[in-house]
Amino acid sequence: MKIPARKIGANSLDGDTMTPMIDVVFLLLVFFICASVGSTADKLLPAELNGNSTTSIEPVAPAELEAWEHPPVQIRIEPSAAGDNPVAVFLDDEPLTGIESLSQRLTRLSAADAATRIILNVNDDVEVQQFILIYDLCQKLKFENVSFAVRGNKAEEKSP
Amino acid sequence: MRLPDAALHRTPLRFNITPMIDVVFLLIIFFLVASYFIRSDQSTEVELPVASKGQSDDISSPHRLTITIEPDGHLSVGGVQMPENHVFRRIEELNASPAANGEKPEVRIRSDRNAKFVSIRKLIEHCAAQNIRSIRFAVALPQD
Repeated sequence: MKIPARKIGANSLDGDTMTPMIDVVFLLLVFFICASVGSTADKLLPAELNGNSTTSIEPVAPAELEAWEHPPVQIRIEPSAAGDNPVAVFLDDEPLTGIESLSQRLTRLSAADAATRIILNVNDDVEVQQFILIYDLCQKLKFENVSFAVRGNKAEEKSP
Repeated sequence: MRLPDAALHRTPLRFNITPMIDVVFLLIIFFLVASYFIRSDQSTEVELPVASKGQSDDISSPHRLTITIEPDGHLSVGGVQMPENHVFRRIEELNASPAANGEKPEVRIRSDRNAKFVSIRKLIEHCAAQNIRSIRFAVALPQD
């Protein structure tokens, strides 16, 4: 039996019914491409504050310091008065030439003992980018205990 | 009785769903676009500081407060600029409000990279005073 040619061609997948669907699918595709190009999701740097977060920042006697299992290291960041560096960095009051030099010192410290407590003492006038740069460096070197020194009415410190 | 040929061979009425799918997809697109713009309006645009160890926002914690610090040090919450003491009150409210599933309150700080550290210092201080343990800094990954 000979089947007419138009019957063979006529099924649900013919061009007439599929075209609007393809239109819409392309429209969706274009929308999601545009939406994803226009926006980048924020990334997050975590800082966990622990329970015993308030301690004195009074200088500790050297003899007492030696008794600590992991003596803390203080990184002081001050706005730079002059020079190429945007900030002046001090590691336990020893001035460093810049963030590069701090990075080298902290890399050695991290390799020796990553449990060392780092205290970030950042001056109020330092730009956030410089603070984040150094905090990011501590995260990169996997220091387990990074604290922020803060100045209230009384010198005190909050530790993450 | 003989029925006319036309009545016998009339094609049954078919419901064409293609236009309906068209409309439904268009509605979906409309709501997606609308929600995208509403969400982007809720936070003030700032230039985030660059950090290489930024993590993706994989933990969905609804019990959080996002505070934006503008370059001039002004604080805003949900796109609304407010004085420092109002932001502190919001932190206190966050701590006081009950969280579902025992979630810990979290404060997210979206600071402009050119803002001064003093604003972050005050927020950290207040969070610690309120016993909020989780703080996250929003950062941008370096562009290669």
